[in-house]
Amino acid sequence: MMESLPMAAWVLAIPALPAAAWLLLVLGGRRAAPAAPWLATSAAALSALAAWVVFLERPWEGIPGGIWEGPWSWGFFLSSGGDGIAGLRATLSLDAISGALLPMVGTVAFLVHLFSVRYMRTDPRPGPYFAGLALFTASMAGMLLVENLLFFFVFWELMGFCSWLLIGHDSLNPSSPRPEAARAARKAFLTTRVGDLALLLGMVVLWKGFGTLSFTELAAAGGSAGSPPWLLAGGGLLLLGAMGKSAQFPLHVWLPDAMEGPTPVSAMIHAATMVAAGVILLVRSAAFLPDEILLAASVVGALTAFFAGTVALVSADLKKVLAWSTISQLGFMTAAVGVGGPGAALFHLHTHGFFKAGLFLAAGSVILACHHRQDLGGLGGLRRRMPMTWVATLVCAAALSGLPWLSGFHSKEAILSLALDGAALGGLPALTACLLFVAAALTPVYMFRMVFLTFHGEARSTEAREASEDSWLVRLPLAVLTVLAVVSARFWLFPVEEAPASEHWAGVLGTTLALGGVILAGLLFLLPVLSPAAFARFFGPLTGLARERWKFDALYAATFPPLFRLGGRAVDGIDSRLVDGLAHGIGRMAEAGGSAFRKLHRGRIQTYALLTLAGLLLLSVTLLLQGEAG
Amino acid sequence: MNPGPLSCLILLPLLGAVAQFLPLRRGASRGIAILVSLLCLGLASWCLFIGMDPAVGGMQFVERTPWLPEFGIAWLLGADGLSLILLLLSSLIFFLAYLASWKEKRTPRAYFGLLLLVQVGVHGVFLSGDLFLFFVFWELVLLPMFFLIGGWGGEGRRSAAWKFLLFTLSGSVLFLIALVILGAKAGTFDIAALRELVPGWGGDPGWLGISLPSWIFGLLFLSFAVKLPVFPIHTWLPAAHVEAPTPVSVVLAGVLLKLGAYGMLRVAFPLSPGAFQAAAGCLAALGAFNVIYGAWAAFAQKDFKRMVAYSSIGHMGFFLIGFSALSFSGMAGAGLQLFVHGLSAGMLFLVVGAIQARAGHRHLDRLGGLGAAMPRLHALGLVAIFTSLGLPALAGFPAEALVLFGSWDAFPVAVALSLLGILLTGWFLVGAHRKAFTGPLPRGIGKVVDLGARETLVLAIPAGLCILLGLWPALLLDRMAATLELLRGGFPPLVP
Repeated sequence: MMESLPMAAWVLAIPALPAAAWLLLVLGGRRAAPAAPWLATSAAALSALAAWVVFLERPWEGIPGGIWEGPWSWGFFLSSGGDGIAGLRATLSLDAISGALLPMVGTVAFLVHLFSVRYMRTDPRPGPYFAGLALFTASMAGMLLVENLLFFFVFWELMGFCSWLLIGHDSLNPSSPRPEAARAARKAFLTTRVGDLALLLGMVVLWKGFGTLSFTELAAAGGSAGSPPWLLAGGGLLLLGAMGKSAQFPLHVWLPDAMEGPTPVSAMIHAATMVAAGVILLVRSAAFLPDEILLAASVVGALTAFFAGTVALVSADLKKVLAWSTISQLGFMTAAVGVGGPGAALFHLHTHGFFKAGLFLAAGSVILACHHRQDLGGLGGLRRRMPMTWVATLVCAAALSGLPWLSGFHSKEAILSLALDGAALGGLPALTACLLFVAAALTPVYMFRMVFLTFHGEARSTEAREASEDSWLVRLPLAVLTVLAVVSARFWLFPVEEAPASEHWAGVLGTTLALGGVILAGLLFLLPVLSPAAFARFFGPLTGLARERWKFDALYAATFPPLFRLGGRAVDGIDSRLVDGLAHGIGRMAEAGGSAFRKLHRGRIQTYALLTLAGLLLLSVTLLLQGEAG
Repeated sequence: MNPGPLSCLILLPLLGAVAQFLPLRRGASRGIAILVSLLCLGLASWCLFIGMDPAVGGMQFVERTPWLPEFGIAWLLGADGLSLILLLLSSLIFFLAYLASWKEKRTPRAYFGLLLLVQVGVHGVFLSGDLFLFFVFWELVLLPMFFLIGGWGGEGRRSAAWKFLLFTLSGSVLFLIALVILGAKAGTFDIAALRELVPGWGGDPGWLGISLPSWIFGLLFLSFAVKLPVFPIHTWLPAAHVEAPTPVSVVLAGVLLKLGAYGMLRVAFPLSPGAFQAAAGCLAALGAFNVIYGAWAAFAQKDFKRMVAYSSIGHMGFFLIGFSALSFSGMAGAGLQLFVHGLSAGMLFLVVGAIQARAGHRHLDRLGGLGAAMPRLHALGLVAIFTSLGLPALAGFPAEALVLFGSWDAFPVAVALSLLGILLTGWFLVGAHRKAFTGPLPRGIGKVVDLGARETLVLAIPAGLCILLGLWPALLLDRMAATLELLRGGFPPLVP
């Protein structure tokens, strides 16, 4: 193992450098704040560099099992020995999945850091912001570098904490705190935590069934397990966890609200970290999940892809369009795992990471230039004033829409062809394929609607009229991500499942739909040929339903909080009236009995002392008697 | 006699308490208390990390001096992995409590003297190998605590103090009855000897058709359940914890609740393993009920301190579930939970205390904006909140995860239900964070100053430990592993 020590150092550096930056910033407190942006950014840069080195070296190749393991292992609960869960040991491990994703994660995280240096320049709390960003980066890298579900969960939860912290960042601003940010952060934390606790229970069930939580061992044991009820339950709970994290219907409600966070944070959450975790969990578990659960995943994913696409079509806010598009694309990935394409899901996660980060940072650039205006109604005409941002958005939007020669085309085509392949089975797989193709058709419409409304036509506000490109800190990340949005499919190394029978048709159909969508968006929002209002009227109540996010937020808000609050009031009432009342009643009875004593002794301490004394006396007498009898 | 380290752990605070009778200068009271607790902390750490042999599960550092030999009573002290971990916790918590009482102006000599007496009692309970001695120390905790709540507490201190006294006294009476029975029948109070003798009384017809060991189990369990506390005999807790001054609340939640748990695992359960096993299912159900009940009651509270107080009930429920499962993981989780809850609840009370000192109140609906105004308090408060709600990488998670994994075989329903409690805990704590720390500062609150150096230290020590134990729970679990195995060996397994 000694000869692999330099490699171990590179691998360790990926999570350890941002973690060290976090520690320094936390311990440094206010004194470290001025150094925070560059400290965190350089740590992220070096971490990304290490990720690329590891990617190019590919240490996992040629090792039986395809997993490179670090020279250290660490007993978590007990430092040595121990059976059951207590004997679990953590190791640093690297396989093709982590190796393939780490460069994307590292690069995007670094560019988000760089962008944040400019975007958060006027923020009064740079220390906590960059500390949170660094911990986020470290957690994501850590999650990719562990091979055991329990430790995976540790980093998974840390990311939940980081997103809570960063979504709510503006609610702690000393001069102009935004309470909505705190509300959005709480919603994100609690919604994903429902999924997290389901995953925790799922882990317990799987542990009981398989006796291991190592992904490799689970995969090996799962193939022959069939689908006994416990595996269905465990797998279902695991799927629920992934749905919470990856914002899948019906646990999707937190992600659009998370737009309250600063825009670079949105890029971080949507592209490189948080929401990717659910997909990665599904990919790593695909080998042992029973067919029923995979089918459920494909339906949930397809449904989400479609439903989120319809909401994105009518969103009036620049960032909200992007948020709903993320939910829709995550739906594609979830469905991909379900239709037997974990490799395709990862591929799409990889390409999506680059162009979605590009889109969010471009949105950040717009927001920065327009003084925090982000409603589509108040933008427009930015093309001339912000050419760099315009090109970035255009290219990334085209990639997201799956236009040919761009990265998104390849990854989406892989998913669509697998879905088409399965559709021959009829029933739910056919429904999945239909929904995915409709969602693929919706994607270019909502993306180019956003592009045209933001950058083309007339500027609809003074802010938009006076906008201009910002510093290189904004333009450099945009340029890099634009290039990567084009080429990222070229450096993907994880095998993607192939569906030779449908590949051709999926490609043709997908391209036609994508081009058709762009043209439709152009007719609606670029050239005044079709009227968007008439279109909205044509779909009638459906438009309204989409505007209200299909009413899920309203439904949840009307059920869960009141229900839990009612429960709380009931328990509190029972506690203070019934339980405590009973105790008081007994107390009063005892007091009535004890009042004679009290008169004698003028105070209750004496009563107590007397009681204890009497007890001890009784004890001594009994013991004496016992002794005599013996 | 030549006192060993364990006697020193009891005598040091006693000396400190006696020293308060001397004509002391201002500030000397707290100096003595802090010095004494630092010595205790050092001694306890030495015993746990250097002095003890982690491979030995049984009592170490045993000191035995005949005291009342004609009654079979001895000054018998001993410590194993579990008691030393709790001793480390209590000496740490007392140190923090003295440090947090730095500015106590109201008759500091009496205040520190009483708190030191409580420490004598607590250390004595954790170290006693003789049940009579155990009882004496148990009772010793009671009165000073009563005076501390009643004398230095908030507005409702009188009724809270009385409630505390009457509830715990009722528990003591049950304990005393059990003690009389045990002493009369066995002629010794040596806990190790009793563990050999009592299970053999199963053939005894007992009383009301219930065998003698079951009676003893019932009496002891009930008396310890008051302290833990267990529904429905928990209502002293919110009252006492809320009315007590902050450092005393810290001691109550951090240490006193653990006395109940320690009594159960050291005395009530091992003395009558049969009765315990028959009741294990009920205990786990009770634990799960406590987890949900405590969390839900906390959910409804508007008073931040009251919320924290109720959350303790929920957290102690995990001890019951984990221990009743009788698996190594479950018991290890239960043991770790005791330590972790001491840290997290103590920290939360300190956070609330710091808020109250600045805002003048602790009503969540009328707080806000403290995160921006007090970044240090906010950062340390985050550790407390997220340890309490079980975030991985902080100490609460390994404890709760071990309980969940370790109890699934025996009590799957209790495990599944307790997750609801974890969800609720996250909900109300994150909600409390939102109300107290985010948004604008309310008008009633003027200029707020962040934590000073001393206040920061008081919170940073447990916060650092929470992070350390979250990343490396083996630090403590290694020390109690052998003890847990030995303890578990006393019970045939629940699930074959």
